Amino acid sequence: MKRRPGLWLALTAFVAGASMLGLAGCGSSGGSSGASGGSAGSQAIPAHQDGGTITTALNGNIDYLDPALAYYQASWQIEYSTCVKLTNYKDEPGDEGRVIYPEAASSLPEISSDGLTYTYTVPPGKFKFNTGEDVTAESFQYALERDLNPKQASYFGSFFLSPYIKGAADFKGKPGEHVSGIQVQGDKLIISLTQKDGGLISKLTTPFACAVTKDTPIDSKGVHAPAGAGPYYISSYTPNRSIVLKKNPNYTGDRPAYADEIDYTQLTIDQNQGTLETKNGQLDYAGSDVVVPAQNFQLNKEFGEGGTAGGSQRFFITPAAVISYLALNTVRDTFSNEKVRQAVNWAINRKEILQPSGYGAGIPTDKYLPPQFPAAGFEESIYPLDSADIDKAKQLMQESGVQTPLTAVLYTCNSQPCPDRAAIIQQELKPIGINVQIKEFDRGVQFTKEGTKGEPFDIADEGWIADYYDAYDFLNVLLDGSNIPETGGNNFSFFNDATFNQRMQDANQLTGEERDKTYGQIATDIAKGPAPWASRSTGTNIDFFSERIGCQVNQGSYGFALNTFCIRS
Amino acid sequence: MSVDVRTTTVSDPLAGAGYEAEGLTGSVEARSPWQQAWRRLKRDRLAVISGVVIIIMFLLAFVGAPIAERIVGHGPNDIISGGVENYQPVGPWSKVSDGKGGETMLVLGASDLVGRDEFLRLLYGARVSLEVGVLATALGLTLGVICGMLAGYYGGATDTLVSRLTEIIMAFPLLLFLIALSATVGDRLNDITLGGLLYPGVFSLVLVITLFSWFYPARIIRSQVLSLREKEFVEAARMVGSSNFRIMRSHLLPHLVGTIIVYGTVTIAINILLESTLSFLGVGLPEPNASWGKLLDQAVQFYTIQPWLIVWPGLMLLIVTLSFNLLGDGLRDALDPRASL
Repeated sequence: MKRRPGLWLALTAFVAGASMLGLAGCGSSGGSSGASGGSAGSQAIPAHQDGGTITTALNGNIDYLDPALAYYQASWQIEYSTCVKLTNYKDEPGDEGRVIYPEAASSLPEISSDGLTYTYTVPPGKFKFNTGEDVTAESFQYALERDLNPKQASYFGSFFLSPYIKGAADFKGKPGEHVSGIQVQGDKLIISLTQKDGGLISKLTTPFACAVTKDTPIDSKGVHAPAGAGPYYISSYTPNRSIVLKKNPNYTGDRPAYADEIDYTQLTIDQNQGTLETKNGQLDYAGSDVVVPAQNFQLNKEFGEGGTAGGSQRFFITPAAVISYLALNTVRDTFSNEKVRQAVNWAINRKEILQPSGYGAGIPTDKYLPPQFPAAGFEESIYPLDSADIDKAKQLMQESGVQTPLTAVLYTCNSQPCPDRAAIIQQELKPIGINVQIKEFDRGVQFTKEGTKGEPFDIADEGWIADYYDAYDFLNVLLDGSNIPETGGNNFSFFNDATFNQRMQDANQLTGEERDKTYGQIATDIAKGPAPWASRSTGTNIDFFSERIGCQVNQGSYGFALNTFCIRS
Repeated sequence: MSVDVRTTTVSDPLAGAGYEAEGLTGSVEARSPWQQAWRRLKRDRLAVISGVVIIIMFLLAFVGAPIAERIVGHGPNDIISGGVENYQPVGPWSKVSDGKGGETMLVLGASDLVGRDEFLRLLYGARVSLEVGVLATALGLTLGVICGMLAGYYGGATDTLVSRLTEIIMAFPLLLFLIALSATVGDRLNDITLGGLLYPGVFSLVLVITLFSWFYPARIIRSQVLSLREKEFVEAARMVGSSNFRIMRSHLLPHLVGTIIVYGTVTIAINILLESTLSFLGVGLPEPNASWGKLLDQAVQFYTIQPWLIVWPGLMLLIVTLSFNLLGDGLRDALDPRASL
C-alpha cells in the first residue's frame, strides 16, 4: 500500500507546534456580519476598509494546493477560503464552526433506509468558479473520481473513500470511465456504498471533496493553482516562494471576503523573523508554524486577551483537535506485555513532557480522542495528568513479571522541542527500569520508519491531527490492526487485537449518539486494557496578527478563516 | 652530501658573537631545528596565549567539568524543575528549586525549556567539541599523510588514483553529504563509545568528519613529497639500499612534520566548527548529551528574549577556534627555517 506523502508532512507541521484544525470557541475577534455579507463571528465587526492586500507567510509548511493532495494545516486553511464543498463548516468560532451545513448542495443528503445510498442535490449555478464555470453535480463527481484515480495518488481516495464506495476499488481512471458508485442524474449526485459508513458526510466535508472544474488535470504532483469557487481563488503559487489569493469575482455565496488580495509573501520564513515582522506590522498574520513557541508567553502577555500592549487582542491560543501520544510498539519484546505499557502510562508526567513545547502549546491528556469530538465526552480519563504515579507504575512492572532493566528505543524528530521532550521521557522512565535510547530523525524519515513493519523501535513520539470530527479518524485509522501495511502504515504501535478491530469496524456502521457512545467506550477500554499508546496532550493553535488586521474569525474547524480578515480603517 | 646538523657541533658565528659579548668564546652545541622553532614560538605572544587557552580549555572540559558537577550537586543532563519560569529558561546566577525539596545554583542559568544547567552543559559540550575536533583531525591527517606520501612518492598509477579520488571527494557538496551520512550511517554507529571513553555519537561524528577531512592534507603532502623525492638525500638513501618504506618514514616524514602540525591545528578548529554545524542542524550528538552546536541550536528560539544562551556557546566556539588558528599561525612562523631567530 502506498502512502500519500501529505500525511507525514501534515504531522511535520504538528511537530513544529502548529495545528490549525479544530479550534475551541474562544478567542475570536471577528464580527457577526461583513460588508460582503454572511455571518462571521460573535463580536461586532470593527471599522474597516474593503479591499487592500493582506500579507502573511509560512515557515515551510505547505505541501500542495491541489484539493486531492493537500494535507497540511496551512493548505487546508487556504482551501477553506477558496473551496466550495457539498457541505461545509460555517465561518463561526467554536462548536458552531463544527456544525455541518449544506453549501453547494441544497440540503444535507438523503440517506436510503439501508444506509448505503447518499443523494445530494446540487443546484447548478448556485456557485461559480473564478473561471466563470458553474459548480454542478458533475464538479463533485469529478472531484471524487480524481481522489479515487490511481494516477492522482490521493491518500484520501485510497484510505477514506475506496473501501466504502461501490466500484471505487476497480476504478482505473480511463478517459470517459466513471466510478459505478458515484452517479449524476440531473442535479443529483448519488453515492452508493458497499458497506455502511457513518462518517461519510464528514469525509465529504473535508477539502479533499472540494469542487473542481472539469478541465482540472490528473497530476500526482498536484495542480498549483486550481480554479476556486469559494470567496477567494488561488491566483498563483510558486513553490517555496509565494502564494497569491484573490477575491473570486464570481462568488455568489454569503461568506465574507473583505481584502482584495491575500499574499503569502514568503513560504520559508524564519520563525524569529516572522514573529518580529508581525509584531512590527510588516507582516499581517503569522500562523502556528511561524510564531516562535518560546515567545508564546511573552507575546500572550503583551498581545493576548487584556494584554499589556493595549488595543484589540492580536495573539490567540486556542485548543485544537490534536492528540500527541507515545506509541508503544506492541510487537517488540519491550512492550509486548500490556502491564508494562500501562506502567509507562502511570510513570510519565504529562505536564512536564509538555513544557518544552512552550507556553500554551497544549493541555495534558490521557485520552485517545480530542475533546472536540462528541465521542470524547464518553471516554474516561484513567491515568494521572499533572504528575506521575511511580509507585503504581513500579507495581505494574512487578506484576508484569518482566526482567528489568528494559531497553526501549525511542524514535523522535531532530528539531525542537522533540529532543528536549525525549530527554524528559528518558528521565521519567528510568525509575521503573526502562532505559530509553533516543534516536532522532528528520521528521519525514521518522514517520516513514515508524510506519514500516520490523523497524527496531519501541516508542514513537507521535501526534495526529483530526481530518474531521469523528472518532473513526483516530481509532479506526490509527489502531485498527486488521490491515497493517508493510510500509507506510499509521498504526505505530502495531496494535492488532481481533476483538477491538471488530468493535471499531462495527462502530463505524453506527450514527448519532450511539456511534459516539460506542467509540467513547472503545477508546476507554483500549486505554485501560492493552494501552498501546500513552497519550500525553491535546494541541493548540497559535495565531498572531498585526495591529491593522480585524474582523478575523477563529473558525471552529480550520483555524482563522483567511476570508474573514479585514484591514482596519 | 647533507650534514645532520642535529648531531654536529659547529661554531655558530651568530651564537659565537653573542657569547663573545658575554665573555664566552669557543665552540657551542648547535640548536636543533626544533629548538630554534621553540625559541621562535616563545617570542610569538599571541601563539603562546592561544596555546595556554587551549590547555585551559582541555582542563576545563576534562577536569573542571566533573569538579563543577560535584560542586553544584547536579549533572549536565539533570532536569531542574526550577530552571524554567514562565516557560522561559531562568537567567544566569539563579538559585532555583531542584525539584527534590532543595535548592541548586544555575551559574549561567538554564539552557532550555527542560531546565538543564547551561554552565555544566557548556563544560561537557567542550569535551565533545574537543574530542571530535582532535580525533577527527588526527584520523584525517593520518589518512591524508599516508595517501599523500604514497601518491607523491610512487607517482604513476598510485598518484592518479589518489589524485582523482581527492578530486571526486572535493567535488561533493560537503555539508549535504555529511548531513546525509550522519542521518543514516551515524545513527547506526552512535552506540560505539570505545568502552565508555567517548560519548555516544562522538565516534560516528569523528568517522563522518574524517571521511571528508583527509583529502586536503593528502594534496598538500603529495605536492611536498613530489618535490622532496627528487632531493639528493633521498637519492643517497636509495643508493645505500634503503627500502621505500624506510625512505618515506625516516627521510621524508621528518620534513613534513612542520606542515602536518600547522595544518593539524587549523583543521582542529575547522572540525570543531563542523561538529557544531552538524549538531546545530540536528544530526550531531543524540540526546541527552550536550555539544556547543546543540546548545546553539536550542538557543536560537530564545535569542530575542534570552540572548546570552547564544552568547555562551558562541563565545566558546570563537575562543577555541581562534586559539587553534592563532597557534597554527604561530607554529607556521616558528617552523619556517627562513624565519630569523
